[in-house]
Amino acid sequence: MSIVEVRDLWREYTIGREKVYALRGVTVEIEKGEFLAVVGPSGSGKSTLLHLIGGLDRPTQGVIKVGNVEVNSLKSDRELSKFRNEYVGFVFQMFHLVPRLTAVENVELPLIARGVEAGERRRAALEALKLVGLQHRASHKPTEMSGGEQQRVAIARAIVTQPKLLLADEPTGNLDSANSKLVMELFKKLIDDMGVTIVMATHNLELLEYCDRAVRLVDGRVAGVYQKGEYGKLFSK
Amino acid sequence: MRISDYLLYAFRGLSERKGRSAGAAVGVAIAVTALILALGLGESFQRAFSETLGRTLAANSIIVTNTAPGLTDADLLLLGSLPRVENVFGVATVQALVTTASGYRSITILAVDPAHLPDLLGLGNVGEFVEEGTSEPKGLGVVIGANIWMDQSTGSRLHDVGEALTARVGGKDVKLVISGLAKPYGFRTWISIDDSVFMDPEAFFTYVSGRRVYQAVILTLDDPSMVQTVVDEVRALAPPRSNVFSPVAMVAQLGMFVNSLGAFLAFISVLSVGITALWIFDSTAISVVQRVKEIGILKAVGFSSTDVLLIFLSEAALVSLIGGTAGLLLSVTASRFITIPLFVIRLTPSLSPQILTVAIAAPLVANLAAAAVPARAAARLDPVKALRYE
Ligand SMILES: Nc1ncnc2c1ncn2[C@@H]1O[C@H](COP(=O)(O)OP(=O)(O)OP(=O)(O)O)[C@@H](O)[C@H]1O
Ligand SMILES: [Mg+2]
Repeated sequence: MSIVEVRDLWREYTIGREKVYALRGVTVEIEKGEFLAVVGPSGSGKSTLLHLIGGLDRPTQGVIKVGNVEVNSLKSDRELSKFRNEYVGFVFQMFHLVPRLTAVENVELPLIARGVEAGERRRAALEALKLVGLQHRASHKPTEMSGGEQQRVAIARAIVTQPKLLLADEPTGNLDSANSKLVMELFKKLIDDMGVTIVMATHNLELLEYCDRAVRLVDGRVAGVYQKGEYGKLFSK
Repeated sequence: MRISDYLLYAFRGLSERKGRSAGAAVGVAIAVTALILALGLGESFQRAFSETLGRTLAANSIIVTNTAPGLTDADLLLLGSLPRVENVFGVATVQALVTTASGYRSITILAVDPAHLPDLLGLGNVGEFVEEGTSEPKGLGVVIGANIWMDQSTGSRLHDVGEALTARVGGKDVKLVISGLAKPYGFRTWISIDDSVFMDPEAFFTYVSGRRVYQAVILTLDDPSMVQTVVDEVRALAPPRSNVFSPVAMVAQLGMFVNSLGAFLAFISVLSVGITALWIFDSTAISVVQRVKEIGILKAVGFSSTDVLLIFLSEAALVSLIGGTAGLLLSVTASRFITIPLFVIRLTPSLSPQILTVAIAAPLVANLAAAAVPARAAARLDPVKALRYE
């Protein structure tokens, strides 16, 4: 059963009179509980695809379905923000924690948006921090934590709402290999424990060993889909 | 999002930039204080006028004062012959010292025909004049003002009807008998009623002053609307160094004074509301620019544009409420100590709920409007661009 369905997705930008195509007709289906890698050269449209699936950006054309929601039909900001809050958790390369808030307060943010009562959301946030092994850092500010720890706080924030979908854009881009490994193992654990589906954009082909499948984008188009065991072909590209 | 969370989040934002927030709150406090005092003074003047001034100072009277050499019976006749003048009477006054338990006290002996007391005091009848004893001074029997027979701080009685009272006038002692105690009058007109001793004119000219002159002449007219015309005529006829005025003109002057004071305070208030609003605009704009990335994060985790708008507006509202509360406390405290003595009345700003509401609401609305511009810009930020912003 597919949880994400993307059909003929286009995203174009107009800069002055020029048209820049970030995506030119991408079609992809993602299974529930799958760990999908999106690879491809810089500027190929990986981030754009993740943003569109997550309702952070709007397509020029095409269909995006997440669960039973047709994301491309969500027009109002209210609907889109509600969708992001309920269905998606984002993890970014730059961690994107709010510097003046503590770890647990950062994790609480999606629940504040949702209107969850203070005591309950604190409990849920601590639970999420525990899941990423950082409950002892709850009252620390981002500046007091290592990059790897910050990224785990960001992951806790992404999963605190029990989303269907985790969208990770270069989540290990700023981490050393030990921390990258930690994050990948955490992702696997989340899939096993929570049944979450993960789409990860990455340049790092070494991470593919953790993924179930890889989609390669080139110039905004799908240039190939690789199952486990076919990754060798990607290394030669 | 819950309302309490908007405020909580706003509070976190404000405490991030304590200096600027405090500055804006001080601006609001000044604006609120000035506005409360301006409106409060205006209202208390209105009230003083309707409760005291308008009732007590006869609208149809004109007062001519001349302390030296004074006004004679001939002047009285002359002024009384003017058209529109219904009634004329003289009031003779002299400064005197009376002995009290705590030493000498300076008072005014005031000689007026008892029949004219109601006109002088603006009372309906003389019965309203006294607290105890007679209302008609006769011979050496006098009616004494409230400040003389009553201790001003404790309200306890210092003199009683039937007691003797020795007044020292120009080196000689005059032995008087207290035959009446006047009710507290409350405020000064051209003389202080509460600090006066009322005496029978015949006895006054016999025992106190050898010369039959009056320090003041009161004219009453049959038509209050003619006051200004008659004032001009009286000015032309009165002896040199006379001072001619009417309570109506006095009240008008007072009104002008109070209005210009109010206008000044309102100006300060408008100025500080304006400056504070600019400050809030600036501080919110800076805050939005500094927090572009944070706005991107908030949107990514599910905050709506409206949430972002309200977060920034809440910050402005919170600053206004903190400053407003400070201003409220400040003006409540200040109004206890502010009394503006305007030669007939003492004004203390009155703090009615309406005034307090307006004073709090005006800067709040101005600040929300000022913050709305950058707050809307924040709300409209594209989350993808905001997250990429460096
Ligand atoms: N706001 C924008 N305006 C114009 N062009 C844009 C904008 N955002 C992205 N693009 C263009 O869209 C294309 C795809 O960008 P995208 O960020 O999705 O690539 P990417 O695969 O994530 O690259 P990277 O690996 O460097 O992160 C690029 O050519 C980029 O220049
Ligand atoms: Mg990218």
